[in-house]
Amino acid sequence: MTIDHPIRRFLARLCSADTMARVVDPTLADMRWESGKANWKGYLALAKALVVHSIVSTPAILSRTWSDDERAIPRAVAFLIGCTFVASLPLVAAPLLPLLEGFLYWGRSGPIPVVPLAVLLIPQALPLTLPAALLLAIPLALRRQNPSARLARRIVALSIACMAAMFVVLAWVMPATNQAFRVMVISHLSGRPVELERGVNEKGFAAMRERIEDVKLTYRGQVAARSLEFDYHVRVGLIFIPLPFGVLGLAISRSRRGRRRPWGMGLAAVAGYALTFVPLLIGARMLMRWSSLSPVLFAWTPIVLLAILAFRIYSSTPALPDSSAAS
Amino acid sequence: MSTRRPPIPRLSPKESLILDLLAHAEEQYGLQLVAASKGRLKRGTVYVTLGRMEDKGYVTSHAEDAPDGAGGLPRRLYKATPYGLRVLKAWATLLQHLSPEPAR
Repeated sequence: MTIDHPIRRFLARLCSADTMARVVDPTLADMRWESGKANWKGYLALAKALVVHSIVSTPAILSRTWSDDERAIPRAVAFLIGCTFVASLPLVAAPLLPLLEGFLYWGRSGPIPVVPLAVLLIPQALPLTLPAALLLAIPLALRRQNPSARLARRIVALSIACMAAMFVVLAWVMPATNQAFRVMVISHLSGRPVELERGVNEKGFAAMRERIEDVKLTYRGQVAARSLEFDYHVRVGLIFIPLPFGVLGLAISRSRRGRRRPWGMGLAAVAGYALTFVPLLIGARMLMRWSSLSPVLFAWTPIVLLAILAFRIYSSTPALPDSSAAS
Repeated sequence: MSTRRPPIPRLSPKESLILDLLAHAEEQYGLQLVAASKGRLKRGTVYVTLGRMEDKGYVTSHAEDAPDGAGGLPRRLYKATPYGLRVLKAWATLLQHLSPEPAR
């Protein structure tokens, strides 16, 4: 095992100098001295050492991430939560207010469960509001500083964490809360507990796939199956949206305008997202109905276009030399 | 004005074992420690433990002289520090005092 070995070079790109010196190099050196050449037991030991080292050093890494860069990451998380909450309010109120009017019209006795209904409506808003909040939270959190390469990596990690959150919401939380919302509304109106069959938006990914296969087998079910397939792939695609949006947020915070007016630039990006992405999805759905091409293509095209645009903007935004440039 | 007392040093069973092995040898590298431990230390975790012990000041390490052949990785040799040996001795005494005495 030499310094130029491909595995060592690869790990040197991923690991810190300290990890290389203390964990990787001694383990690799042992492999060389043990048998003269690398063997699978040595690689297994290296993999185990890296896993254990990652687990052991996680608290220290989290602590450093929390305090480094003038607490930029905790600020970004706080802004992200706040912006997501505020942006979700209209998407919660839009279906809730007409419903409350309906309750009053039907004159059912008993208190209307406003708070539980509002809470159950939050997850259906998150897939749209969480990525949009990234566009505002990142420029606001980084407004006082020029994002370094390390901070940029951590912002990307935050975006990946948002992707994981989106996956959990779209796969499990949203279907469950949507169903609970429907049951609560109908039960309140009918005055007795009811059971409802789950609709498309109340199904998880696996149940949705099963439904698509079932619909395909029905008489003239191909059209309905194509529509369901489109919805399925849009939902899968939404999971990946936070990553390009995190990158776009970084691009805004790197730009001179973004550092001078983080609120304005962030809100402009959110408006751009709302005014282009949703119409693009609606347009793609209409085109899909008229076309014989795969619905997968139509579902993914707006998402891929958005990602390409975000990465292009980031790569064409040069980093400012230092924070004083913004002042 | 109150003065904060330094934290009491602690030794995990593995750290204690490593210090014990290093106390009886001049310098050893990870694989030697694994072999000498007779299965109680694993090669996947020995360097993580040694790194933590280095942070605590129980051991010191240095890379051995460059091996034959250009670009070969040198092994890392570990040695117990006087502080580490003092902690080991104190820890052994503490455990001896705290262990239940046999009934007479």
